[in-house]
Amino acid sequence: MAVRSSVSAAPSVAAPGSQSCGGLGKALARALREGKPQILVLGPLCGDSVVYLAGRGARVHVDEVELPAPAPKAKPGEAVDVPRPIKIDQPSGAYDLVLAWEFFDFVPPDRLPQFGHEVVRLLKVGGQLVMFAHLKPPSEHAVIPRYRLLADDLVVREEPSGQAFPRYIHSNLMIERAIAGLAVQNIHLQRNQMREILASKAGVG
Amino acid sequence: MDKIVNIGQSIHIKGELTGNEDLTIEGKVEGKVFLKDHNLTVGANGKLIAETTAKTVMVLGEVTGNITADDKVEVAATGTMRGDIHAPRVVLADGAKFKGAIDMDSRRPGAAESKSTSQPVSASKPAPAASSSAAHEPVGAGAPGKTANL
Repeated sequence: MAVRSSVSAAPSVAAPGSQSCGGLGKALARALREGKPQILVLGPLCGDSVVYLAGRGARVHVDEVELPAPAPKAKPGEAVDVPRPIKIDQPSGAYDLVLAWEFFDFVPPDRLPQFGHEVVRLLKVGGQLVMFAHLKPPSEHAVIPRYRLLADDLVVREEPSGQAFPRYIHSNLMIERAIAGLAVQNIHLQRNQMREILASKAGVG
Repeated sequence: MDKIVNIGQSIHIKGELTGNEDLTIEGKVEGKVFLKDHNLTVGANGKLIAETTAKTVMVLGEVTGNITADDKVEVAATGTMRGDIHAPRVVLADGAKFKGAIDMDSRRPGAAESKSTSQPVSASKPAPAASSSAAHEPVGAGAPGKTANL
C-alpha cells in the first residue's frame, strides 16, 4: 500500500479562491477508513476532483442528474399535469458518501422533499451526504458550479460557462426535512455566505 | 514506428476485435475490443459499444461499455463515456460527459503518477484537464507514422 500513501491528502494550504471545508474533510476521512468507499459525485463533472478521490482509494461514481422542473401550478377547471417523478438512476443503499455540492440549490422548493428522499435512498446506513447551500445567493439564476478538490478539506468553486438555472434559497429546516432519515452533523457558514452541510444516515454513529 | 490502423467513419464492425498495434476508431464498433500493450483512440466521430481492454484509451467520441487499461484512460472534453473505467491513471476533462465509476487500482504501477499529472496544484492555476489531452501521444489521424485505413 505504499502507492496509496503516496496519493494521500495534499496539505490543505489555502490557495487563492479556495475555501476550507471542514465537513467535507471529516466526511472523507471517515469514508476513506472504509478501505474502498463508494463515492457518488452529483452535478457537473470536475474531472480533477473525481480523479483526486479515485487516487485516494475510493471507487468514484459520477452521475449528472437532470434538474427537476417545478411542479406545474393548478389552474381553475384544468387538470394538473403530474410532474415526472425524480429518479436518480443509481442503486439504493450503495454509497458511503454522496457529494451533492450545490445541486440542492437548483431544486425547486416544491420538489425538494422528493429529491432529498432520492438522495437519502442512495446512502448506506452510516453513509454521509455533503452539500452546499447558499444563504444569500448573488443572483437568482446561475450555472451549476463545479467544485475542484485541492485537498480533502479544500475546494475551489468554479462557475463554468453554460446554461443558467433558477436558484432557490432553502432554509436549514427545509433541507433537514427533505433529507429526513439523515442526521445533520454539521452546518458551517462559510465566508461566501454558503452553508456547508454534513449529514449522516442514521444507524451507525 | 508502429503502424496505426484507422477504422474509418463509414465502417461498422460487430464482434470481437483483437490486435497487436495501435488503433483509431472513427467509425462504429460493437462487441469486444482487446489491444494488449497498445493504444486505442476513439476519434471525435467514433462510436464504441464494447468491453474494452488496452494499454491506453483516449476517448474523443462516444463510448458505451467498461474500459480496462493497463496504463491510462483519458476522456477529452468532446468525449462521452457511459461505463466504468479501471486504470491506474485517469484523466477526465471538464466538459466531458461521463456516467459510470472510476477505479484506480492502487496496486498497479503509476497510480502515484496519476495524482501529479491529474491534480491541480493550486487554485490559481489548476491543472486544466482538457489541455492534458495534449500530453496524450497522438495515435489518431494526423499522427506521424504509417496509417492504414480500413
